[in-house]
Amino acid sequence: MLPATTLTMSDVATLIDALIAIVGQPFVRTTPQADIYRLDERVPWVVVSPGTVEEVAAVLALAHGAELAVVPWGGGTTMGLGQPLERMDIVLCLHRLNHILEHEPAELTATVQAGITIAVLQNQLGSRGQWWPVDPPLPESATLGGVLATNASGPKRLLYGTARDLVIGVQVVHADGVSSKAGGKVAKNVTGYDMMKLYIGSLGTLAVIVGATLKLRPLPPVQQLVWAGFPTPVAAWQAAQPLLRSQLLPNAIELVNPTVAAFLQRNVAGPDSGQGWGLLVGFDGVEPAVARQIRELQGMCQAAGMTAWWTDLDDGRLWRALQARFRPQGTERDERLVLRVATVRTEVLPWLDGLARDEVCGGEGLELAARLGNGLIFANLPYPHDRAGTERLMERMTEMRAQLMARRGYLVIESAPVSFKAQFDSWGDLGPQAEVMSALKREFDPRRVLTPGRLFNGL
Amino acid sequence: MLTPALIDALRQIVGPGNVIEAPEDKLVYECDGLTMFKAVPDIVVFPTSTQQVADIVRLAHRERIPFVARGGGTGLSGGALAVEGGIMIALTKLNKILEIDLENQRAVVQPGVVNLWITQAVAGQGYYYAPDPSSQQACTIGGNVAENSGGPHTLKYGVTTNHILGLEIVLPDGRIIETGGPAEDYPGYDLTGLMVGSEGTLGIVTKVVVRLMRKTEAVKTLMAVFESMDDASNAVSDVIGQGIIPAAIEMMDQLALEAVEAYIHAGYPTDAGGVLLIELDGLRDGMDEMAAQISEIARKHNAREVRVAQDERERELLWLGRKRAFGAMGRISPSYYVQDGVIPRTRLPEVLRRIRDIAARYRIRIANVFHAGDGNLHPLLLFDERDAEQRERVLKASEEVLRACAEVGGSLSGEHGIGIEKREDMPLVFTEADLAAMLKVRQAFNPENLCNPGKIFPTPGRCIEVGPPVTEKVVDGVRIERF
Repeated sequence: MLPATTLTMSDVATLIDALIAIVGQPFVRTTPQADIYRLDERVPWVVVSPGTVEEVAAVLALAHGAELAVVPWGGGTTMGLGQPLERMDIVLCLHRLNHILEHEPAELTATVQAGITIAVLQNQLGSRGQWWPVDPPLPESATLGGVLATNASGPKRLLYGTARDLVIGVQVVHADGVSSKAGGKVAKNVTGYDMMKLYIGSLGTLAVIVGATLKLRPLPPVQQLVWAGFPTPVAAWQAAQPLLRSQLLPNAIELVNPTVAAFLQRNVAGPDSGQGWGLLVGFDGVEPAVARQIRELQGMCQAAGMTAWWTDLDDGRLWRALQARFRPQGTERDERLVLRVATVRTEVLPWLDGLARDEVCGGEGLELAARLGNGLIFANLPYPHDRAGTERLMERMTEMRAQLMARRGYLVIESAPVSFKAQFDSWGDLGPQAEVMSALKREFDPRRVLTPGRLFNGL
Repeated sequence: MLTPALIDALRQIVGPGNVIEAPEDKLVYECDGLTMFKAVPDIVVFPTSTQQVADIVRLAHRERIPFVARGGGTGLSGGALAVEGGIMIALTKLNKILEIDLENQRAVVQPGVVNLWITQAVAGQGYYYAPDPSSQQACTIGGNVAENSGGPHTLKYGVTTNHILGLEIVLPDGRIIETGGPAEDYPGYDLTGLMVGSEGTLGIVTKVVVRLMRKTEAVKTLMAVFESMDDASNAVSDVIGQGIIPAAIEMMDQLALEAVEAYIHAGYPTDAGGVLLIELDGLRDGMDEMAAQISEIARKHNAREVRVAQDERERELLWLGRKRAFGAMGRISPSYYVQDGVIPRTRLPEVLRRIRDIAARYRIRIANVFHAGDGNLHPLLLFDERDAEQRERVLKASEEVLRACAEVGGSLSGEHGIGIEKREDMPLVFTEADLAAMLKVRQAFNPENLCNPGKIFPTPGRCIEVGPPVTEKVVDGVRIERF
């Protein structure tokens, strides 16, 4: 176990006492309860769970003064994203900040604290006929703050966009314990810089998000998911082309390889005829529009040679199962490697096909899911057991990354064992813009106490 | 600050034909769409490549000369005003559409490309560029990026930032960087998102990767006439409450209607309290039912008339009145000053009452055009700019209008930006800590503050005041002439 900052036992005792004075004793955990917050082979000295923004601020101010590294923690579903942490002294749990502060259905906005889980949020918004149209993985555990910090998203981003399109205000606490807000409660706003864009996706390296104002949509009256089976990715892709060019309005277009299709069939639902690639397409809206779009899609799929067709699917369960598959948790993180390949739509097929057949990555254990309309491919493969296997994989990934970047795409690691990330950078070379990002980090966190090391160049 | 040697160097960079120095020639560049405030740059240059922009900026940075970018000059908050003099970098010659990729729904354009040109280039194949500010026939994409421009369709389709995927930027020290690109979710911080709406204070954009949208299959436009703005406003809340998201919802009050009828004769009733223009778009299926639902809601709120456009010609006529509303003010007033506050939609009746009260107290007429879809209020303060006393009253009244918007939880600007016009009002909506966080961003990009200085942020020392004094506009020690 790698040590955190060098603290003597008496330092730790002092720290614990100071934190108890801020949040109260039940909300300060140390070993052994803190040990479940193991991350990147580190265990924090203490896990603290503040109940108010003021308490968050006081904790951060304290940590800042002592130059202790703080890692904000929501549902813990995506803590593996990014380069291994340089230091981790205090884990700051946000789950007690879990209220919806305001929900104005007539305004289509809601102001929400960061610690609420997505499932609870959607449930409460749903009781007034609305939702926040972001469908990230593991919604029962993932919190709003975590979703924003990681810019997590799901298949329905095709129609609705991602968090950056759906957050109009934010409240944060800075590394030194000062809190600030940006944006507002109205969707059309050019009053000062769009700080929401900066904080979203910043992986907790610039500030701790404690609340946000969200843009909502009405819950659609009807939601349907259809599954079309194809023998090859080429055929499935050919079915999707007329769909992408049309004026139809699918909310998701996902293509999964036979391994994933089989898993979904076994565990959730799906056509029980044969193996093959699965094209999953979602529609929502008023009934006549959804019905007509499904009919038209069926025609497109038939023309491309589909071998299976099913419309009676529980879309919530299916999407959740699919997304969970690409988000290994706990010890699974040491056994799988999950990559995100990003390119433009027209280059998804060659990459998908290429990955499936690849000498190094391909094979029975490879799971693939492609967001066809967004040019994103997720690959989940077993982590090699031997040194030679790992080296071959790294070589191959280096090649792929170079090929992608030459065409303005990229390859990032979504999840991998720490030892792999120590040798193969999660993010790749960001080019000259990295200097500006470093300058921002220096401005916002000069003492490098917020989630240090997650991004790049030790950012 | 600009020596003959430096002027010569600039001429070398862009070519002698791309420099404007003579005072009489610079007059055009002394203001943008906010004609009330003027400031003359020392020189105006017209680069024709990214490298030239970078060379100009590097020179300016080295010599500590302030610089400001300018696009179509249509901005309404003084964003292209050279408040500290220096070099004005006009981007109008960087005006090419470099790439159109319909399959991937992307285009790459230079900042001087006029907004409408993009849609015109792809409309034939059934695509368009969604953000459509009313000035789209003249405003440029670079300006749109700087101001995060909107338009009437933002309720459903968002604003400029939702359609910008990548940028090429010349940083305030002359370095060139690329952010984002044609793919999605690039690693690192979202510098592209941060640049949009930064009003030219973080760098100069020299290339833009935009998202193209597929045209919708069907569109349906309705007009509803109400006895009062309260009724119209409640009808809008009801439509949204029933789960309908129109592509656009526009509202005009009686004074605005009077002006429009005097100008266009679109058939608007001048004795109505307010008119709603609602546009649905999307798939054909179910659209008629949705329109019927909206009609019913309107009548439930005492609509005296509901008209559904039967064809394209009728639709255009209904929209003509709304689109010409600002220009129509000329029929009933020599001049107008438009505000850009945003308020929660449900607070509109209350804010309108306050505006009526402000109008009465300052003895000026105020017409209201409202993007009811997103809460963007455009109060049009009518006056005669030749009369200095009226100008004073208008500026004071507009201050109070802005304050009213801030007090109901709204915002200072929906689409025009803060610029120089509203910078002293920032403390109405942000604390010192809020502004300090934003200043960290500026510090990371533009530490010497040479890139479009004097915009967005209040003058130091003013932060703690609530609302600025209206009588004096001396900016950073430089007297800004007020027409």
